[in-house]
Parts: sequence; structure tokens; C-alpha cells
Amino acid sequence: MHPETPRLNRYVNALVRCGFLLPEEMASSTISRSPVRISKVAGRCLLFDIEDVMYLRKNHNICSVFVGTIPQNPQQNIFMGLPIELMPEEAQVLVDKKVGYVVDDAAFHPARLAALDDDARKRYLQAVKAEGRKAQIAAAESKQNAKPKVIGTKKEKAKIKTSENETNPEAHDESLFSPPSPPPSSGVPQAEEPPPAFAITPTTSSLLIHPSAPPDSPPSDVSVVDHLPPSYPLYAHLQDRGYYMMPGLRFGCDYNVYPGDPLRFHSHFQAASYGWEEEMAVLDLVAGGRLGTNVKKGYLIGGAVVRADDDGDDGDANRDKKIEGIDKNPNAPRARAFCIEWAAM
Amino acid sequence: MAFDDEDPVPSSALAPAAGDQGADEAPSLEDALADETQDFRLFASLFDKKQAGGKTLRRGEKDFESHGTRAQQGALDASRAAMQDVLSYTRSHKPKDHTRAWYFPDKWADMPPAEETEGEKGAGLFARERVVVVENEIKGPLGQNTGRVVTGPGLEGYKQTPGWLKTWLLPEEALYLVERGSLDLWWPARGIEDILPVTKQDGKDNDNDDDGTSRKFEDYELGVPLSFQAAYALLIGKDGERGKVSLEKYQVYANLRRTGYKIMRATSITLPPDVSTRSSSSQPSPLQTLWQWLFSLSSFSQTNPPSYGPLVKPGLYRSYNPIFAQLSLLSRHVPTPNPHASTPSPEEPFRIHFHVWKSSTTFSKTKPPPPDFRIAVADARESSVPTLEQLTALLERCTPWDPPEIKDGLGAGAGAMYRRLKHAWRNAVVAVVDRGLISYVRFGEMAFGEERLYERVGGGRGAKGKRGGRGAGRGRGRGRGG
Repeated sequence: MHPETPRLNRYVNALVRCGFLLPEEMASSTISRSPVRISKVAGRCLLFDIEDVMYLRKNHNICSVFVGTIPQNPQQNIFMGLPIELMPEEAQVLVDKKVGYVVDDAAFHPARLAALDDDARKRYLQAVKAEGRKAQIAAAESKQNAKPKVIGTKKEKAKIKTSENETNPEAHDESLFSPPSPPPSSGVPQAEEPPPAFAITPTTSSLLIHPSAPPDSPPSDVSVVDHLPPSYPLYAHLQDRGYYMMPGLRFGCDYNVYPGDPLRFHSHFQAASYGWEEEMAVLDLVAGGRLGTNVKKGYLIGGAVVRADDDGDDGDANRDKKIEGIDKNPNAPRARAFCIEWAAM
Repeated sequence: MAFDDEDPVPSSALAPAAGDQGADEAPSLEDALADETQDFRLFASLFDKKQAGGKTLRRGEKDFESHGTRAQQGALDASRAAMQDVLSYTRSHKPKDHTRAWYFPDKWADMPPAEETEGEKGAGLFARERVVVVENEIKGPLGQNTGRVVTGPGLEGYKQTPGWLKTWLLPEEALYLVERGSLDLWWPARGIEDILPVTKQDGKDNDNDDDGTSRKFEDYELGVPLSFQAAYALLIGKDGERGKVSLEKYQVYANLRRTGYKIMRATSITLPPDVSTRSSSSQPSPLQTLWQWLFSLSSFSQTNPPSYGPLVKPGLYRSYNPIFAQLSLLSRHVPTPNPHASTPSPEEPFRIHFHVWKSSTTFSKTKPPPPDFRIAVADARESSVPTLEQLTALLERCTPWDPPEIKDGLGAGAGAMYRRLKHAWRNAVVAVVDRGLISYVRFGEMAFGEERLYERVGGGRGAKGKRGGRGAGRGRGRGRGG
């Protein structure tokens, strides 16, 4: 053993005690939860529920790409909103791990909507209207909250202007508050004459789904994932080891591989999938390796192991050393991966 | 804290992005490369000034790997919480700017699937594809290039039917408006005649006024508001499905709309008649005839040199130009306004799908000006790099002849050579979509052979030699064009 080790241990313990380091038990554990309903539209897998999205992000290292417009600020492309478009690989992994199931939403919606009778529609509309009322109240509240701020800034300006004549903030408040509205002490914002409730566009169709299918039993209308690419084994392999992956278009590869949530971490690898016996052009290796080195990433190649006797133990051994808190994928195909770096000789 | 000064994009600089022309504020190259996922804490700061002040918000503030500290975990949790907070928003419509629309996919289904061409009719109507009718008008600038009232020749039979003279939306338009929270899309439980009763101001009553339109329906009897998810399910489809739009096309559409471009479905263009490859070569451009004339004067022929040499005929030369002319042995591509007969017809996905205008263009959606860009949309996973044939077909069959502008010598000179080359003689943009990530690639038909560099050396003589409008002026104007 190293002579430094005890001291290091003490140091680490101190850090844990001071709250700088996470004790290992604090790693997130999976909450049992009804499977995620993946909606398939025209062969693409989409997720609309933010709860599902965050759940997959936290517990199944799947983040995927936000492809929608954010309604709060729709004229920009920097921040994107719901839905997320799952890669077929991601959807397949979720199905394999039984945390998700795929539903053909393009078929479900017209059928379900056409089947609604007057009563069901009434109930649905009432539910939506209740949401609308909530939104309206929230809007009124946020307005209320914003008001003192506006007054505050005005007050400050006024202070700057008329700094010499002694300003009484209370008096100011009163003079500004009293003409337009009663003092907001009542707490309930402007409930005198109820303005028409806001119309609402619900984000998900959960209001439609619940009456027919109990959420905990996987429903019958399960569909399959389309267009699963040949790079799936490599994806499943890396996913199983806790890596986050994004589509690799920007780096000319199959996947961008992150060591953790891309919100927090830079990606480490650009992954390209090859068949086990596939010939690869050396130029591709050179190109990938150089590009990877230039963007501070490793060029990772990998693919499914074909023969059963090929390093079987190695794979299993790796599997046992798995990260806590992430469910294993029982159906992950066996794959191996190699990393290539550009050596400056 | 000192590091905060180096932040390339402070939150205050992001604030203008909330304006109409949003993404002039493009992320820097580094961000584009490394930062697919933005920190939503920044987004929250756009709205919540209270929050923005306190924290230091930096973009691209990422770690190499997990080091297991609580600080790191806390930062990640904060980012996730901000993300969840922003994205939990439910689209709500204030009564004063509430626009309701109905999904009626079959109203125009019987229209002939006419091939729409750019021409006297202006923008394509695509009546068959219009599946969403807006109850009132779309307010504000959004309606400027969105939706159409379906009128025109061949539609007389639809006069005074319900939904006549209403604005009808294409699927991508409807979905985009729903997505940005500007449209409340409803699923109709009754026929269109109950929901949009025909106005009787003209005195022309329809037959169905006995029971249907006379009675006022409750909302729930008419239909239900559709969720955002339902809008996707109903409006996104496979390529070529009537009344639907493919996801990658929609993503490109929405991406450009968010940036502020004006974008409409493309109509095909009327092409000049084909020319066979042979006839175009036998029909020389004026420049070539002039060259021949010049050579014939100086008794040099432009015929191929004898195979045993010499490459340059012995003789008396007073300029380098004839020598270089003799040295150019390989024929170069010469762009022509007419497509070649040998060019194949374009194949999916390499054909023009959208026409795009800059946001500053004055615009009328019935008669738009010629588009600034023509865009083809390709799925990265289902197509590969276009072949030369596909590219030629895309450029020659789908985009108009658009040579670099030359006005009164401006743009003709040597200085503008690279601008000319970059502009190219025809051009098209291909948007490549990989599961939501979009890259735009511009392809142009270039003509390096048209830029005779040797005419520019040797004392600045003859810098004018660009073909086209000034081709005939070979003997005169010696000055440098620009």
C-alpha cells in the first residue's frame, strides 16, 4: 500500500463529513413506476410527458433530443421543448427493460376521439376547463407578484429624482396602491367577477387515455419499434453501462457518448458502430481519430459480438461492476467497444 | 467569480433572443460543437429576473466527468429542476388572443391532387392538404404567411359550403401554431356545417338550417380541445400522406419559423425546355465564337494539338492568353440555363420541399416574391450523401437558373470572383435531420472553368472576361470591373 493512502482516506472522510462528497449510498435508486407510454407517430417515437422525460433522464440515462418549440419563448432555437424524439435504439432499450411500451398514437387518437360520447366529452371538457381556471389563477397571481416589483422600481426612480424631499415609502405605497385596486391582503386575486377561464391546450393526452386503460397494466395496443438501426448492439451496450448518448450527426458518428447527463458533462467519445467481421477503411479510422482528438473526444468503435465463445467471461465480469442505481438491461446484446486516440509520435 | 468575466454569452446578451428575430444570436462555434443541451437555468432567467440576478449563470459550464461531489450533484439537480420547471408549462390561451381551429381532414379531400407550379397563380394552394380550419382570423404577424382561404378556379362547387372563406391551414402550419401556443385545436364531434354555420348575410341559405344551425350548441356537443400530443398524432405522418407532414420536414419548418424566416411549401418551377448535351456543346457561347474569331485572325487554330506535341505551337506570341488557351485541354463544366436532356428527374428526398424568404422580405402569401432559398429535407438515417446524378437533378430540375448578378460592371471583376463562385449558377439548400438535430448544407452549381485566371495576370489586362452579359464587350472595356 501507498504511504499516502491513510491520509487520503482521512481526507476523503473529512470531505464526506463536510458535505463535499456524496456517500455512496446516496446514489439515486429506482422508484417503481408505471411504464412509460412512448407514442409512436409515423414510425417515430416521441415523449410528451415531462414527468416521463425527467424520470428517464434520472433513472435510465436516456435524455434524447428536445425537438419542440417552447411556448413561453417561441422565437428562438437555443432552448428547445417538448416533445423529445427518442432514437429507435432508446425506445428499444426501454421496451427491453420493460420501463416503457410503444403505442401507435396516430392510430389511437382518431379512434379514441371518435369513440367519445357526449358524456365523455363533457367530462373531458370539464377537466380541461378546470386546468384553464388554474392557469388563469396562476396568471393572475404572477401578475400580483409582479406588481410590487414594478412599484418598487418606480419607487426607486422616484427616490433618485426626488432624493432631497424626504420620501416615506409607506405613503408612496399607499398612493400607488389605492387607486387601482384594493390592497392585496385578501390573498384571493380578483375574484369579483370571474373572467372567462383560459382555454387550455393540454400537453399530453392523458385525459383521453385514463378512462380506457388503467395505467399500471401494460395495455393491449402495444406496438413495436420501427427502423432499429444496425448500430443498436453498441448503443445498448454503452447504455447499459450508464452512458448517456445523443445522435452523432454533429461529429460524423453514430452516437455522442457522455459520461453523465449532458446538462452537466462534456461528451467523452464519438461512437461508430461496425459489424464484427466488417472491413473498415483505415481512412475512416484516421478521419474519426483526428476529428475526435481535435474536439477532445475519443473515437470509439464497437459492435455486437457474434460468436458465443468470444470473451464471454469478460463481458459478464464487466457487467458485475455496474453502477448502482441504473437498472440492467436483461436483453442487451453483447458488444465490445474500443477507443482510438491519435498518437502524436 | 473571476471566470465569469470570460463568459462569452452572459444572460443579458441572451435576452434579445426573446425578440422576433430570435436566433441572430447564434451559438458560437464551440457551443455548436459541444453543447447540444442548454442549461435551462438560463432560460428561466429570461423570465424570472429575480432568479437571474442572484446566481451566476454561465453557458457551457460543464465538467469533464463525475467527481462525486455534492456540489456537482447539486448543480446537476438545479439544472434538471430548471428544465422541468420550464417544460412543465401548459399552453393556455387568454380570452383576448384565443384562436380556435378545427380539425377537418376531409373537407378538401376530393380536390384533384394537382401538380402545383410556380406561375401566374402565385404560391401553391395545396387545397387537398389543408386539414385545419381557423374559426376566426389568426391575429398578428403570425398569420402573414400562414394559412390560405381556399378559393380559385375549379372551386366554384364549394362556394357557400361550410368553411368557405375561412382560413385553412396546412398540417405543418397548424402544428407549429399549436406548438408555440398560439392556436387551440379542437376535434369536432359534429359535422362542419354545425360548427361553422354558413353565414346568411348573402341571403343564400343552405338546406340544413332547420335543426342544425338554428340551435346553439354547447361546447362539449361540438367537440373537445385536442392536446399537444394529439396534434402531433393527427398531423405528423409519413411522406406523401395526404393532410400530414413528415416529422423531419416539420422539424425543419419549425426550426426556420422560430428563427424568423418565412417559409412555405414549395411549388415546382416551370423549366425552360431541355437541351441535349451535344447540341449545347455544338452551340458555342459568344465567348467561344469570339475566341475562335480571334484565333482565326492570328492564324492559330484552337484544334487539338497533335498527339506528339508540342502543346503550344511555335510562333510569335504577344500575350500569354493564347498560350494558356492552348494549354487548356480538358473541357470544363459550363452551366447553361436549360437543363440537359440527360439529367434524370429528381428523386426523393433530393427535391425542393420548402421555399424560404428572409424575414425582411415584404410578403404576400398569395403572391410571394421569388424565394431567397430553396430547401430540400433529407433524413440522415435513411439517405446518404447525394450522388452526382441526384445533385444534378436537384439543381437542374428543381431550382431556377440563377447566375451571379452582374450589374454595370459591378460583380464582374476579379475582386468579385469568389463571390461569384460561392453564389454559383444554381443553388439549393439541403437540410439534413438526424433525430431532431438539423444541419443545413448548401449545394451550388459552380463553374471554375468560367473564371479564367490567366486573363487577370500580366498587368491587369482583360480583367473583364466574364461571360454572360459582358461577353460581347471583349474588344472594348479594359478596366477592372470592380
